[in-house]
Amino acid sequence: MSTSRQTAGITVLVADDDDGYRFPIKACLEDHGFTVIEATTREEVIALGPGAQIWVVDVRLPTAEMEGIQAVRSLLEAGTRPHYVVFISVIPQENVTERLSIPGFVKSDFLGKPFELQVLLEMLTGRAEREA
Amino acid sequence: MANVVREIILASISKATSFDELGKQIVEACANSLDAEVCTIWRRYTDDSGAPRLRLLSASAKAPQTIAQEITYAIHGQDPEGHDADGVTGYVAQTRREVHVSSFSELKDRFGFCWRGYMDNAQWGGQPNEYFRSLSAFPLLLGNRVVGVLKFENKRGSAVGFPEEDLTTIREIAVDIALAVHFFELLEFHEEKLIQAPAPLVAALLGPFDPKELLSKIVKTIADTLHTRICTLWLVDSAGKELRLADGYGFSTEARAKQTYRLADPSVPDEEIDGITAWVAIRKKPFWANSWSELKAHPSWRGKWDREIWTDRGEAFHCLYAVPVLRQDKVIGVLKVENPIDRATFTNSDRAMCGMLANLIVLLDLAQQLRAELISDLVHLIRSPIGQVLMNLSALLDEIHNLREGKAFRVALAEEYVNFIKKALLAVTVTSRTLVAFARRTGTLESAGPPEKTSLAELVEERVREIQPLLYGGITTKTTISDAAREAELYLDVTDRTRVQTLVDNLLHNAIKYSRADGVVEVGLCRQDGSAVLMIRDYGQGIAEEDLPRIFEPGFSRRAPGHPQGTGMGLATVKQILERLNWSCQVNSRAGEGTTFQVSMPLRGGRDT
Repeated sequence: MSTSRQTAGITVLVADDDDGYRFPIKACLEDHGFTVIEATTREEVIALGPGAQIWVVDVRLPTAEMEGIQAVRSLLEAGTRPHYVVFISVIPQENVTERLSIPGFVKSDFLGKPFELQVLLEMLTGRAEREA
Repeated sequence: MANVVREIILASISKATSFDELGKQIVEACANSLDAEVCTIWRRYTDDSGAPRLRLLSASAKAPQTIAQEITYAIHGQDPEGHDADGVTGYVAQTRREVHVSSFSELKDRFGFCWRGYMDNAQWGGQPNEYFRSLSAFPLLLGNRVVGVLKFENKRGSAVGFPEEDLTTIREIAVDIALAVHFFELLEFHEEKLIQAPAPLVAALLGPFDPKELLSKIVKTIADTLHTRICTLWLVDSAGKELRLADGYGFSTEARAKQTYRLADPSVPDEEIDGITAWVAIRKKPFWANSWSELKAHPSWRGKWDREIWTDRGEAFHCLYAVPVLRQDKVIGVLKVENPIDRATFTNSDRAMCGMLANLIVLLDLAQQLRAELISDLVHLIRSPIGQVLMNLSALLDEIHNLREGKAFRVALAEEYVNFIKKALLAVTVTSRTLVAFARRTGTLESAGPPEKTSLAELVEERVREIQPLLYGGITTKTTISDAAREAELYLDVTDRTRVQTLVDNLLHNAIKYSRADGVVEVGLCRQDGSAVLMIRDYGQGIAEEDLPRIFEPGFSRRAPGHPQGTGMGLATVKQILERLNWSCQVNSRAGEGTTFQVSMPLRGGRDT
C-alpha cells in the first residue's frame, strides 16, 4: 500500500448503490492511502458528505431520478464545501450535463462507467496534490 | 295551422342537445301535431357503388327502431311513372309525388307494382292488413333535389286517413324539414371523413421504426389527408426556448434547416412575438388566415417563413391554418397547413381534422417517450453489470501484477473481485434470457412447432446446473426431486419451453440475490394431486408484509443489500408467464428469515402424466 503525503488524511466518500462498483473503487483508493467511507442512498450521502473532502458519487443512486446529483446539491446548498466531486454514471455524459449544473465554486468532473481505476486514482491524487 | 305546427317543431328542435336528439324531436313533433301513430323521416344517401338510396333518419316512438335501421330503398329507377320503384317510399322519392291511402287494400291495389312491405311487416308485426289503416307520404325537396321522404301512418281516431288540412300543413313545412334533412347529410359526410382520417396515418406507422422517417411520413400523410399543398410540423426544443422545423412536405429541402421561431413568456404582447407560428404556441390557440393581407395583419407576423417558401414558387400564398400540438396543458409543437388544393379555404371540417391529427401526434410522441424510457432502463440493466465485470477484472489484474512485482497477492481480495464478476454475469444472463422471452412474446406469428414431451425434473436440474458457475459469495444450491415428480412430464412447444426456463431462471436469480453470504438456495420438485409443484426457497432477507402483495407488479423492486434497484421486470415477467401457462404461484415470506415461492403446474390427464 502506497501512501503519499498528499493522500494521507484525505477522506473520500464513495456513493454508489452497486457494491460491484463500490468495492473495487474502495479497495483501490485505500491501497493508495485514502480513507474511504461508503454510502448507498441519498440520505447516507447527505449524512456522510460533510465528513469527506472528496466525493465520488453515482449520478443515479438507487432510483433513476438523479438522486446522486440531488444529494450533492442539497449538501452544497446547506453550505458544505468539498474539495472535489467526481460524478460517475453509466449514462453518457451528454444526457447528464444539463442537470450537472453544479455551482462554479466547486470543482467537479464526470467519469463514465466503466472506467479504469487508474484514471480515477490519477484524478483524485492530482486534486489532492493541488490542495496540499 | 302550419304556423302552429312550425312553432311546435321549432320549440322541440331548440331543446335538442345532439343531432340524434334533433332527429327525434322533429319526428315526434310532426307525429304529435298530426296525431299520427307513426311518423318516419327517410333521407337520401349514396351507397358503396355510388347509387342513391334512402335510409331512416328518425322514427317516432311507436315505430320499430332497430329493424327500421336496416331497411333501405333504392331511388335510382329511371321510369318517371315509378314502375321500377323500390317500395312505396322509393316511389315517392323517384316520382316526387305524394301518396295518400286510407286502407291496406287500397295500398295494395294502387301501389302493388312497387310495394315491398319491408316497413309494413316490421311495423305491424307481419300483419299489416290487421293494423295498417292509413298512410300519407311526402317527398322532401330542396329546389329540384329530393333529399328525403316524410311518412305518416295511422291517423288516430280516423278510419279514412289524414284530412286535407293536415296535408296542407305538412306541405307548408316540408321545406323546413327538407333543410334539416340536408344538414344531416352534410354532418354524416363530415363525420365519415373524420372517422377515416387516422387510417392512413396508422398505416404509415406500420413500417420499420425510424424516428426521422416517421416524422416525414406523418407530415406527408397529413398533407394527403387534408389535401393541401404544404404541411409543416414544428416542435419545441428540449430547452423550451424555440420552435424548430421537425419536418415538412411540399417545399424544397434548403428551406428546412434554417427555420426557427423564438418562444417567449405568455405575458409578452403579440407585437413582440417572433412570428405567427410562435404566437400559436405561446397563446395555445389555433390561427387561420384566408388571404395574404389577413396574414400580414396579425401583430406577430414576421414573414420569415413566407419569404422562404413563397419567393420563387409558381403560386402565391392564399390560405393557412395552424394549430398547437398540446400534451395535456403543455405545448410540444405547432402543426401548419397551407394552400388547400381543391378548395378556396380550409373548411370547418379541415380544421376539426387538423385538431384531431395534432392529438394523434401527441399520442405518437408519448409512445416514443415510453419506448425510450423502457430502452433506457434495459440498457442500464445490461451496461451496469458489464461495467462491474470490467472494473473488477481490472482490479484483479492489478493484484496479479502485484505478484510480478514481488508484492503480496491478497487472495481474499482477489476472491471478492471474482465474486462480483460472477454476480454481475448472473444478472446479465438472466436479463438477457428474460429479454429473449419478452421479445418472443411481442414478436412474430411464426409457428412454435409441435409440443414435445418435456421432463420437468430435467428442465429444473438443467437450469440449476447452468447457474452453478455464476454462484458467488459462497452461496450454494440444493436440489430435491421426489420419485413421483421425476416422472412428471408436460407437452411444451419451443416457446413455452423457453417460458418455463425463464420462469425458473428468474425465481432462482431472485433467491440468490436475496440470500445471505454462504446461504443455501433450496430447489424442490414434488407431486401434489394432479400437479407438479416447484419450490424455490432462500434464507435471506425476506419480504416485508406490506410489500408482499406488490412483488409481481411491473416496476416494483425491493432493495436487496448490495444490489442495484432493478426495474422490477423479473417477477413481473414471472407473473406473465404464469398467466400464459395457466399456472399459479404461492409466496410465503418472513422478514429476516427468507422467502419460498411455490409454483403449481397442473399435469393434465391423458398425454401428460
